[in-house]
Order: sequence, then C-alpha cells, then structure tokens
Amino acid sequence: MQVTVSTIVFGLPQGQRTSQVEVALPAPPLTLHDLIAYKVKQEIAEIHTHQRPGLSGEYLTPEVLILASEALKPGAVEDEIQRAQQAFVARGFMIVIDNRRVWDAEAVVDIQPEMRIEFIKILPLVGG
Amino acid sequence: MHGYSGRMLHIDLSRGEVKIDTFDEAFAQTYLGGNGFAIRLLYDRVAPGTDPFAPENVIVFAVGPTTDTLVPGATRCCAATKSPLTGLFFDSTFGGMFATAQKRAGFEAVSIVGQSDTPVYLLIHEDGAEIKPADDLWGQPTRESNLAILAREAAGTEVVSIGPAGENRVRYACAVHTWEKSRDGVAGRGGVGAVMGSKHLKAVAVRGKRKTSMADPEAVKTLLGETRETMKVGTAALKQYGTTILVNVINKIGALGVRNLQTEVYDKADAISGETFREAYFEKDTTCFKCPVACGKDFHVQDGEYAGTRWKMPEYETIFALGSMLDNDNKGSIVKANELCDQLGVDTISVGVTLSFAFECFEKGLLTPERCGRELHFGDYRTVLELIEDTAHRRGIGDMLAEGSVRMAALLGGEASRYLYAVKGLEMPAHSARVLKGMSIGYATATRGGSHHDTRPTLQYGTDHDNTTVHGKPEFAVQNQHFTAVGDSLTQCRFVSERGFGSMLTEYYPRMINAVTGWQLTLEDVERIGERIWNLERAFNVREGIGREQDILPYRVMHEPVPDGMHRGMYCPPEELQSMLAQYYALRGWTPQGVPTRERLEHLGLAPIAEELA
Repeated sequence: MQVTVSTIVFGLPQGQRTSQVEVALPAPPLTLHDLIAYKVKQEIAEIHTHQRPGLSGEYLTPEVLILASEALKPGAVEDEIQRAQQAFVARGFMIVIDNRRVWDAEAVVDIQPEMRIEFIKILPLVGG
Repeated sequence: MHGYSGRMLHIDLSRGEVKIDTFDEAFAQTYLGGNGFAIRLLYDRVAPGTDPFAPENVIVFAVGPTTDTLVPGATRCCAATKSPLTGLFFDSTFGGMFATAQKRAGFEAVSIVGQSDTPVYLLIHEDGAEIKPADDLWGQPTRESNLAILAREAAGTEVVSIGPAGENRVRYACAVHTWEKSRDGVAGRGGVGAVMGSKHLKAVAVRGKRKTSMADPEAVKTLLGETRETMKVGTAALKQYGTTILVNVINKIGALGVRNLQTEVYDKADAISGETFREAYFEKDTTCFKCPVACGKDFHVQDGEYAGTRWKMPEYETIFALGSMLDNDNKGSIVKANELCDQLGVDTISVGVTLSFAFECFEKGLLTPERCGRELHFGDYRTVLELIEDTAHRRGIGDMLAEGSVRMAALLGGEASRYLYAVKGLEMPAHSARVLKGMSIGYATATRGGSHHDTRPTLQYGTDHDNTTVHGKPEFAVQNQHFTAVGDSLTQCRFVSERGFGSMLTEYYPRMINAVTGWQLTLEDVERIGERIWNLERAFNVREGIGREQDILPYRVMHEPVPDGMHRGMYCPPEELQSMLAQYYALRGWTPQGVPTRERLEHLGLAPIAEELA
C-alpha cells in the first residue's frame, strides 16, 4: 500500500516548510512507530538517491533546525529511525491522521491509501 | 537603592497639583514595580464603585527595576486604570522608548487623577511635571499629536497620546506612543485611552537623563550569556515575521476564530499569513529600545485599493480580529484597518471582535439595515473600515459599537448574548478558549477578563502540551498567572522573557532581580510577589462585585463544540468549567465563591485587605 506522508515544520526563520514523501507500507496491522520507521527510511533513501536535499526534520531539535545553514544530512538509517521514534514519544512532534492527532506510539492504526497523514513540528513560538 | 529611583509622581488635573512622593526598599520588594505598583496605587486611591469616567478614577504609568538597565526587553511601560470596558482593574503595557524616558525622569510610577476643564497634555521631567494646553491637538490623530508635541518639546522627549476615540470615550480606546526612531507602542486593551479622554488628557510626554544603577552588572552579563542561545532559537521566527507567523500554525491546529467563531479553521488563512504578508509588504524591521529580537515590521502596501499605505505590521491578534473573524482575506485592508485603529486610537482586538459580533447579529436578524444604516456582511472589508471610523467618532451604529460587544448584546436583547466572545466585558483574543483547556480556565479567572496576558497561550501550542484535557490546567493557570504578574511588574516584553528566561517563573528571574537590586530573593520569594499582586488585583475586583458567577466563559465556548478541523468537537461545557474553578480556588486558598481568604491574604502580607473584604 502506498501512502503520502506530509511533513510540516512551523516556525522556521524561512517560514512554514512543507514536504511530502510517498511511503510503501506493508499490510496492516501497523503501529505509529512502524509508520515513523517506514517514513524515515524512505526519506533517507531519497536523500541517498538525490531525490531530496535533506531531512524534513520533524524529529530534530529546534536548535538544529533553526541554526542549520544547509540541508540536513542523515546518519545511519537505524539511528535516525530511533531518534524519530524517541522524539515522537517525547512529543517533539505530532502525527495527525485525517485531521485527528494520534498520541500513542504503540497504537495500531488502520491506514488507508487515501488518508491524509501529517507529521507536524511546531518550533518555539510566542503566544501573540 | 539599586534599580529604583525611589520616587513616584502624583498629578491632580482638577487642582493642577503635582506632588513628588517617595517609597522605600520594603515597598519595592513587596510590589516590585509596574503592575505591582499600579495595583497597589489603584487599590488605595480608587474607591469601590467609582465610575471609570469620573474624575476620581486614576491612571498609573509605571516602570520596573530592570527598565533602562542591561536586561533586554524591559522596555514596556505599564498603563493601568479602572477599565471603562470591564469596570475592573486593568493594566496594558506598551513598548517603544517611553518607559526608558520615564525611568530617566526618575519616577517609577506616575499617577494621574482629576479632570482638566480643557484639553491638556502632561510634560513629566526630573523636577516633576507641567500641565500644558492641548486645545489645538484635540481631534487630531495620534501620530500627528505625538509629532506635534515632540516638535514643541526638547530632544529626548517621548510621548503617548489618544486619538478621537479616546476623546469620545469609546470604551476600548487605546493610547499610542510614536517612537520616531523605530517601533511604536500601543497600550491597546481595556480603554486606558477612554479614561485619558474623560480627563481631557490628550497626551503624556516625558523626558529625563537619570541613570539607573545596578548592584552587580557582571551578574547580569553572566545571566545574559547563559540565555543568549535559548533566546536566539526561541525568537528566530519572531525576528523574521513578528507575531504574524502564528496565523498558519494556529489555523492548522484548528484554533483560529473565523466568522465570529462560527468555526476555527479559515480556508483563506494563507492569504493573510505572516509568510504572505512579509513577501508582499515588508519594508523594514523595527524594534523597541535596545531589543535583540526586533519583532516589529513596517509594511508598505503594494497592491489593490490600499496601495501606498505605509504602516506598522498588524500583529497576529489584529489579523485575527480584523481578518479571519470578519472573513476578511484582503490583506491590504487589514494593514489599512490597523492604521485607522492606531490613528483613531482604537483597540484592534475589541473593535474587530465587536464588529464580528455585530455582523453575526445582522446575519441572525438581530440587527436590521435600518438600525445599522447599512448592511453588515462578513467579508465586506470596506464596511469594516467605515465602521472603525464611525465607532471612533460615535456616528450612527458606531455609537453602539463604541460601547463594546457585551453592552451591545444587552441593548439588543434576545439571543444576542449567545454570539458574544468576551469575558467580564473584555473581547477575547486569538487563542481559542475551546481548543486550549489552559486558556479556558485562564480566561475565566483572568483579572483583566478576556486577555491572553494573564494566562499565556505560549506553552499550550507546544506539541509536548496536551491541550485536550483539563488535567493539570488549574495548576497551570495559577502558576502562569504569577509569571505574568511578575513579568508585568518587571515591565518586561513577554516575548523576550518567555523565550529568554522562561515561560514560567524560573531561577533566572530571582537572579535577574537580585543582580539589579542587590537583594537576595529566592524563586519562592518571587512566586509570592506574583501571588500577592494577583490576589490584590482579585481583591480590587471582588470589591467591585466579582465572584464565581462572573468567572465564566461565553455561551458559544460552553455550549457549541468546534465544528471542524483538528479539534472538532472540543468545547468547555459548564460542568467542566465549574470543576476547574473549584480546583483553581482551592489551589489559591480562596473561598468556593472565589474570594481570597483572610488566611491567604495574611500569608501574603495583605492583612488590611482581608479586613476590607470581610
């Protein structure tokens, strides 16, 4: 099954940054941790084949994202997946499926191809 | 006394008297400055039941111990009074250069009472103040008034003035400070401009050359070194876009009020986003005095029927109130509306939310074309601009709009009150009371009413914050209210303090205060100062009749779930609010009716207040 995962990073000095990646997923059941792993793996594969310049960065720290002067290069795939999964558990970013936030990393999600899947990072902002 | 001049200034416009007063270190340690000084003065000098427009009402301009020191962001001036909109204590801070000039004049607080027979302005200097005629300025817009006074006075003078709205006692009239060198400041909320107008006080000018001493400048530098990187990262987007950066993110999470909160997702948000505004209209950065962030921007409208308009960037709150709430995606008209509001001296939030209330009342048939003298339709930005002018001059339907949405609902009767978005008479800002549970309890208990500067939304937008549950929110509100009370007493910019020193009270705050003053305050001491100020504000409001029954949220927030978006279904039903209120009062040590107890007030050193509330 092929799904589109959008990553939106809000609060960058360059403004909102949106990117998308097409991810091939196995048949259900699937947890959010699995979804994160497949997404990160696909993104890194595309970086290695020069289809994208760098990581979309939802699981990176604000310091790394804001102070980065060039495209964000990945480390080893397994390390990046682990970082992303840990960041999700620590609520460093959120996952929204069909406009509903899903909180539990171990939750089994019934993903369908037409679903809107979004990884959202909100960098430090001030409340007006 | 490091950090303080030890002086206050009291001016009686009726008698034409000016009196210099002093205070000691114990008073400074008890109330800190700014907000704290203001509530103490107002509590003592404004009798319960005083009409906000009566000569007996008092306006206080106050600064803090870190003003004009090495501490960045301490550039706000606290303008406080009994609000004609809420009938309660109100403080509104503004940036620019005014606070620094007041500090240099050597007065931590300036209180103004009475009423002049004719229009006047005040010139405050190191020796006191002079009351000067302003007949020729009456009726003039704020910028022209400020520039005229600057031309008359010596170099180094700074001015804050009111426009026609303040003169006409529009209940949410503001006061506007023009800093010629960079960023202007607006004491926007609560109607301080209307109170100035009722006193025939067109403007307050101030100048001085005094220096503020710091006990340990090296300790201040060390603290700044430790927080520099955090502040840089935390304000990176703010530096680039100002608060407009919030439009897209808050819309994405489904918390941007649209069409008077009939929904909280705006399908045209991108047309009025920070990114769009900057690309289309950005001209230059502006900043308050010595601020490392520079969140202000000047815009130049390049397209459409308002092409050629040059004015400061509308803040996020303004884009909400005069944009999405009115279904107005014409970005040029929002800049124009912002200019009109500043020049006429009208709070953008209150006027926008009052207009959106009126538009919905028209939609529902509660307002007729005959009564309005026109039709009111969401999306009609030209009507919005005309109504801002009518409101400032109290022309036609503008006379009713000038009273604010809550009084307007009472006049309209029927189901009009169901369409209000206001707490305790104050129209609410752009941080959803339905989506952010911390704001639900925060707004309900705010001493200002519907303000985002009593309980802050900042932390509630973080992905690590669960905004959907009430768990822990009363505790959050209590602690955050102490933070804002201290911040407004230090008269610090909220953005610099939140992203530099912490969005709750942290060890940085006592370190900062101690480095400037030479005191030995602990974090707990600073918490108690915040709690003391909060309790005194509440006591002021209790004297005016506020209790549990008034700590409520608008009908729509309590009865109509958000219809769509990421937070579809969220609202704050009455039983949920009551449960949070019970927890909140218990945490504060107040009675179940929301009145500070004798025990708590005595603990805070406010025993005489307990006698009065008994």
